[in-house]
Amino acid sequence: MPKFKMAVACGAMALLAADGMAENGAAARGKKAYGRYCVSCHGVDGDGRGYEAQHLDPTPRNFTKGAFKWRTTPSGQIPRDEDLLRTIRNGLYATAMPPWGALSDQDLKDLIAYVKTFSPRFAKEAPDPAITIPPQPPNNASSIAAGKETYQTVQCGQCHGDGGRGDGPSASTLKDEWGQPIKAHDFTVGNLKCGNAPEDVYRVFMTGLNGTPMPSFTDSVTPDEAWHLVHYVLSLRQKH
Amino acid sequence: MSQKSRTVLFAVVAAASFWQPPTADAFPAFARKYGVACTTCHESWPKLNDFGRAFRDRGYRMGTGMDDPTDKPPAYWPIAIRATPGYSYTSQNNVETDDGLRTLGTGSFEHPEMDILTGGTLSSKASFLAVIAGFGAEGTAQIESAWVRLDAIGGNPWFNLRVGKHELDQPRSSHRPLTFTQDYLIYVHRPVEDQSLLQFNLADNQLGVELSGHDDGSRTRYAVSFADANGAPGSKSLFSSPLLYGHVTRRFQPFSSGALKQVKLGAFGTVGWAPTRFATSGGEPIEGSGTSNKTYNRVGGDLSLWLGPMSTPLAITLVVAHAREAEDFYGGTADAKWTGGYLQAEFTPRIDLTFFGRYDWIRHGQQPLEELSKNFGDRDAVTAGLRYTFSYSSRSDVAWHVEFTNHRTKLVGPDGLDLTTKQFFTGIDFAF
Amino acid sequence: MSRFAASVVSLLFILGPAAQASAGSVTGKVVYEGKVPTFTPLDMNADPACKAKNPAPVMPEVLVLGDQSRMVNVLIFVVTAFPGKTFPPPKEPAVIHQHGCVYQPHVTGMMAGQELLFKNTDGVLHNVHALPVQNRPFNIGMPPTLKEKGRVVDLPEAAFRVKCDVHPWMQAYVAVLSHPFFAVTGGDGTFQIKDLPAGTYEIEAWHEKLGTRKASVTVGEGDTKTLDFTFGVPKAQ
Repeated sequence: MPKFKMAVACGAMALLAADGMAENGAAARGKKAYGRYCVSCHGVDGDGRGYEAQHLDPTPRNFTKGAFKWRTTPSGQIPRDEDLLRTIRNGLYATAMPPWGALSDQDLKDLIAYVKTFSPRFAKEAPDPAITIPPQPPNNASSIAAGKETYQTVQCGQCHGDGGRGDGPSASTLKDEWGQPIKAHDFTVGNLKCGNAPEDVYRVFMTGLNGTPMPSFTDSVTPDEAWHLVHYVLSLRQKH
Repeated sequence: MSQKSRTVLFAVVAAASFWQPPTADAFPAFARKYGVACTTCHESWPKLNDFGRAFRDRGYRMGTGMDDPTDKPPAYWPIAIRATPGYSYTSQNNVETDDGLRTLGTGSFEHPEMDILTGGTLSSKASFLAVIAGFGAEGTAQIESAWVRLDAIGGNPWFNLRVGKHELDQPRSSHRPLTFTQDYLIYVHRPVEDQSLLQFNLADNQLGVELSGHDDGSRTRYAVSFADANGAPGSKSLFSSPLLYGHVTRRFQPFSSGALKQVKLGAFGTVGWAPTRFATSGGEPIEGSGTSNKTYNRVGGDLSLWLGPMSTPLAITLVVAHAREAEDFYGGTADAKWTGGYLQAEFTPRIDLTFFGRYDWIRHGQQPLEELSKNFGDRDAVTAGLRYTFSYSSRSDVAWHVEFTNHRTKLVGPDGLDLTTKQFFTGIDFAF
Repeated sequence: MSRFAASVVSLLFILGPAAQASAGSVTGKVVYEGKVPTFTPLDMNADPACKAKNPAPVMPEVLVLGDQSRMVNVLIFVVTAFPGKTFPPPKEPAVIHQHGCVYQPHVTGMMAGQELLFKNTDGVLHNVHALPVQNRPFNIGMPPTLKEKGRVVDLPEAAFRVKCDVHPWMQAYVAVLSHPFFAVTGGDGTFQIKDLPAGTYEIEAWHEKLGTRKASVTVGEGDTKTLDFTFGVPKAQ
């Protein structure tokens, strides 16, 4: 009995010491968690080529370019820490990315510290502050009608199709930044990957989706026009 | 019943309770379905980690729109199997032979038994599990689990209703243990087993309904089961052996730095009613005719600590409980009371290697039968071993398992001697 | 003041007090050698408006040849560093037009710190999807309502690609240099790099598909040196 207790105590002390040394290395701790939770899809090198990746569509993110879809920063920029945390915590709808919110906050922070080591951009660049999202006007019929007009003026249908089904004339030739074919989103079914809330759609429209053909339209529409467009796009969703 | 035959029977029953077939609940079918490694959900398979528990609480769902089996690639098939072929050596001291008391031991390759599991989502609102356990040489496979669960009723994760034969929400699951040679004694123990009308134990799955709930991430969880207790004799009433079981837990991170990463606190209890008088036919009790229900209960708490990184933790669990069963179940003069529990530690320095050890104890506070001394049947068991999973993929796990246990029961041997059983097991535990 | 002195003074004025020598220039032509692949015209079916703008077939821009197999869209630039010298970027932007659903020009050289300005005169949706590595990438939607959009490009970088996702045949290349000594060959396949201080330089010719060619040249005061580059596969012997 005493031997058993001693073994436990020794083990605990060793771990106490070990963790003290790693305390100044969130990325080092994150690497361990990455090896348990992430490596099967995102790969040992963070390039999205884990052994499961060949079976997944959409494919897991390749972290090495620093290109992330879901951000609150302008087009082309790296995400802020809270953007990465949100993606890890909530997962991404209609993808194989699970919601990791059951892990502790420290584990999540360690994980993103490690994920950031895969791209030199995180060491070289600092992300801008989150874009400001102006107050949302009422979501009513006239807003949706105005949004439909904007949809046509901006020619979203070129990729997303006139009915928002992702079947526009350019849809079949779209490729992501890694040269892989990618689909324009079908707004009419299911949930939106980066969130269904109006703010999420606004954000995607105004910051674009890095790594994909989806550009930012922040220079070509006013915030109000953007909101009307958001309302129109959300109105296209059919509920299950 | 004479002292001697009682002790022999005790030994037989005790020995039988050591070697339970390893029951299932590691689920490569889920790994196949979602393309994740087993370590995603299992701290050390089959033990669940926090992510795996949240997945299970959601009704075997990730919750990101990829749960419908028809969305999955053809390599996914929702069936998993588990088996643990291996070698076991058991010895017991103070066995009565014609030449006096001897320590006898025997070793052999175990008859392998296989479990088949299938489970997952039925729809966006319901999930299920069916486990047929113990396909073995004797052809005595039984349905270990068969339930349907209505998940998040009204969209609220605090209301989930499970109907069918299900596992009670124990502090540590008996169906996902890391030990094969030793049960959690506090779940299964009862004094003078052969004398008791009851055969209920916490480790077995129960037939009934369970209302459970959890918050996002399953940090706070509760479960309340109402069941027909297994092994309790039937009474003539709407529910022949009603049993109520409840468990509440909360896990939290008390410190933002340091080695203590997480603490989980829980409280559990169960109360059951079973009859003590029966109509007889030809002297034999008629099933379902019982009256004069008396109660039995368990009350306890659990504490778990995680030290070190959560992905390679040292996890320590302490469970303590108090039990009480009415004297009528024993035909005795006083209620049976005992306390017991276990202290278990699992150290997983690498995701494929786990060292585990456990100390179980039972101490009687009051014996139901007058002639028994207070510590008759007190138990101490020490179990230790390791698991090395040399093949981890999203398709299967294959682990080499080594384990040793030493189990002493006081005063139950001949002439009031203690009986000590030692068992050594090594085998390959695999799931596909 | 004599004319000679005046030109020295004016040259010194141009090159700044650090310049001791007067400027030279390098000119030349870029020639393609070998079999010319057969190209099929670009398929603009994805956008009828683009098709309508281009009644005559538009050939892929990956290899554009003028008379006598002269190569268009070859970037020529000085590789050698200029220690101790900094060259302010011009205030005027480097302009790329989206016209007729192609980028004009196809290859652009610009200076670090200069603005890169995209113009959309097509009346259709284009997006400017820039893929630099040293500089920050960006992807800006340019619907018909947005006629021009500029971005300052800060860091020197080898040629990076700009593409339009709506019209996948549209490609452009932009190289960012820390000095003004570069040129892109035009329709006649010739280039001229002016105002080069006297010295020995390594000059590189870059083509988007055929790679690079390097040559060394020594320029004296007021010299004009000729440097020709050849790309392609020589005919089999």
